[in-house]
Amino acid sequence: MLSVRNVTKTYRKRGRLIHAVRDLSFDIDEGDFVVVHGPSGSGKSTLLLLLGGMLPPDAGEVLFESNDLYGWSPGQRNRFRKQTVGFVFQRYFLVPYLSVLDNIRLPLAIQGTKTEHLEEIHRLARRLRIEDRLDHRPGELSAGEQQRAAVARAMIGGKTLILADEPTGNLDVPNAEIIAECLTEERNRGRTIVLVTHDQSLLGIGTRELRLVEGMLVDPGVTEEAHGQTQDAP
Amino acid sequence: MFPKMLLQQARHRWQVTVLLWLAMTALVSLYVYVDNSARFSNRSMQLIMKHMGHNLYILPRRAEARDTYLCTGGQIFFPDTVTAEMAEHLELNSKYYVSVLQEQTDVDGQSLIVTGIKPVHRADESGEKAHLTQPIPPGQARLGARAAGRLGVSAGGSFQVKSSTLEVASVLESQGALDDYRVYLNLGDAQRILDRPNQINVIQAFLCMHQGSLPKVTGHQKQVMEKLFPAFQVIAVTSIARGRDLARRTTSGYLYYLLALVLGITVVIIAVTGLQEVSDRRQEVGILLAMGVSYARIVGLYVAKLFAIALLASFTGFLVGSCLSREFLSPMLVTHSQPVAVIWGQFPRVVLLTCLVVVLAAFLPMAKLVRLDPNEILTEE
Repeated sequence: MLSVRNVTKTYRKRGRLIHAVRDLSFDIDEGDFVVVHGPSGSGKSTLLLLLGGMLPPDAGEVLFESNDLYGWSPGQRNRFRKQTVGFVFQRYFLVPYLSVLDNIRLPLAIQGTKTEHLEEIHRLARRLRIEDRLDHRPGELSAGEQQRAAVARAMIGGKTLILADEPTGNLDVPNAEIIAECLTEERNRGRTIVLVTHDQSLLGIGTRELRLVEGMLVDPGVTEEAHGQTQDAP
Repeated sequence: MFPKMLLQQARHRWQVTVLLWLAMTALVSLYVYVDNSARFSNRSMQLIMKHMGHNLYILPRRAEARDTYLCTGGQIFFPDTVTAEMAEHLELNSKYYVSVLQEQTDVDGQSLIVTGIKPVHRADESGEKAHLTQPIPPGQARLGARAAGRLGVSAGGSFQVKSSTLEVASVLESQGALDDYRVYLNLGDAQRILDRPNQINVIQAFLCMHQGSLPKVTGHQKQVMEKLFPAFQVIAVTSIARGRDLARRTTSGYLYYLLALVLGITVVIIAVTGLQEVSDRRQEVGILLAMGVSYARIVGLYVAKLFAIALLASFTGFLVGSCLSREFLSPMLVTHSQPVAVIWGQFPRVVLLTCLVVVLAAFLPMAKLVRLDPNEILTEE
């Protein structure tokens, strides 16, 4: 489904070059549940944005079904995100003035879907245990409920690729478990999931594990120390 | 969904929405008030000017103006049909023509100025624009204050001029001028008494200023007169008109300065609140971009909200401005057939004005919005 070929991304911050990811190459098959982990600043979030068509690499290519994502026009990449990708971020990013229901429905409106998909929304909400919160505004919800609403928003509209960046980073254990369960179930329904986390308890839920250190893929068994100090990178 | 989103957004930050609406309403109402003031006060001043009397003398080119002013024997006579010919030319700025035959002569042993008058109408004089001078029926006379005193008659009395007996219709108030010595008659009577059949020696008229500034109007008048009536000269008594022109321009300048000031402040208010809003809503922008919404669509959503507020403000501002101008201008302006009213024709201009304000004010916030980096926003911890 996705192929990453020799991808490098470098940032310049205050005159200093920061290598976020270096010469990464790997494949993600349809139905994979890939858990990307590594220390803070190892380039995990950058990798997720590269996969989601949000951040063009400096070198290399990201292929989606054999098409170079960054060879597409911005409009084509917008369509790709609209139809295919569901993002979940650590900070939820729910629209504060819309109800939970409208937040979940937002991707459908962006896709231009005419039907309400109320059944699917209620199914997701039930599974994420926020069904009784659909009329509420995000500000009236707990952190866990907000994140569960954000997960529901990422799942709606037949998205086949879910990219989750530290979705449990701000949550307590019970909430983290609900999210993990939901992601596993969605993978079992055939969705492809890439989960970025430094939460050790989530390492086992994926079908594959990628370990990033200083922007490079390493064998999951190799320790951080073997790669020296990490650098700051988004 | 997107219209609902706009509505929810406006409700969520209702203080900002109300501020933008109020700023634009204030601007529009001021614009409407200023426009109505200019329109109706100008009309009012035109009427006041008209009531101050004629300001144009039209004489044969060979005539000396001094002879006309002093009614000396050097005046030159010309056919009274010229006035009617002039009245047919609507391209002239002059209106309310009066054919005048004037001669200093002996009236009941007193040296007075016998003045025959005949108002000549232009086709566009009607209603409020009615003629300044009322005609005098044959056999009647209006007397200047001094003339009445010298003849020892008052309204209802009679006197004789060269064996013609005339009834005094009215006695005019003293003007402190040569006019006080006039004996106004019907033109036909005057031509018969003075033995000047079908003759006059001056045409009085009123120069209308509605077509622009004083120099422009007088210049046009002289140009057209030279072309159509080369044998005649025009003497414009423009001191009052000039004063009125200056007063009008001063008032307009003051009001338009105020309008420009409010326009500037409104643009700044919208721009500053827009910049603040872009900062406050950067996370929303980031996630919308991640969900595949283009920058153009996000900018469109923001601008659509502003245009919706602008449209609402256009309507409320138009109503407020119209009502205020009707309330405050009506009592002080001299208008008869054109009372201060709501002018719906202004509304499209008002909408255009608020749209222009939105375009100007939204420029900076939109520039800031399209420079937002979603990746930076979405990876903030």
